[in-house]
Amino acid sequence: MNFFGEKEQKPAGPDPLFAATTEMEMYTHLFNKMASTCFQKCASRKHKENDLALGEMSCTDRCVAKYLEAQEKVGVVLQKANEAQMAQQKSLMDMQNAMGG
Amino acid sequence: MEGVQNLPPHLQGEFMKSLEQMQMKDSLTMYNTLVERCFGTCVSSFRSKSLDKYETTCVENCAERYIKMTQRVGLRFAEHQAMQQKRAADAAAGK
Repeated sequence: MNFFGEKEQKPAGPDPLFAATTEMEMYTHLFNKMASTCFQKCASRKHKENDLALGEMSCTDRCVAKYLEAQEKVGVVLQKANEAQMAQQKSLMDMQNAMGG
Repeated sequence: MEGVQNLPPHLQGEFMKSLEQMQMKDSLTMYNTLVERCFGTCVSSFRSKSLDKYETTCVENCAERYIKMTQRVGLRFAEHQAMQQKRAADAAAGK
């Protein structure tokens, strides 16, 4: 799964070590942001206890599920925008080539 | 995690080293972020130079709760990844 949440084709160009390291970094960032966001949304009130309450634990589970779903949806939108932009660039280049003769 | 899983064996040693370094950096960053967060939530008055009992308890609890939450998030995340990999494997096998 690439970071847009879709099946990944075999990478032709990029250095495999760089790809693996970058992928790991991406997952690390995702995890940190998710933990941080869910903590803020679910448990960031009075810290009177040192344990998570039952409600906070359910909130965490749901937060993680929703966060990952949101990530997939954003990935799809970005992918479409990327494709649209590339199509636009291609048609621009084709037009320039046609005019340039 | 296809990039990681498809890594050729001769690069795995180097990858593990990068991973270790990344984890070390990440731990230190997490430490600072946690301090900032718990300080922000728990400390709001500056009448004295040291933390009072309420603030101390709050900061300590905040840190413990954050760690527990991080563990829970990790668990759910791993479950989600496993389910996705299973779905991908099933889809590939179904072909």
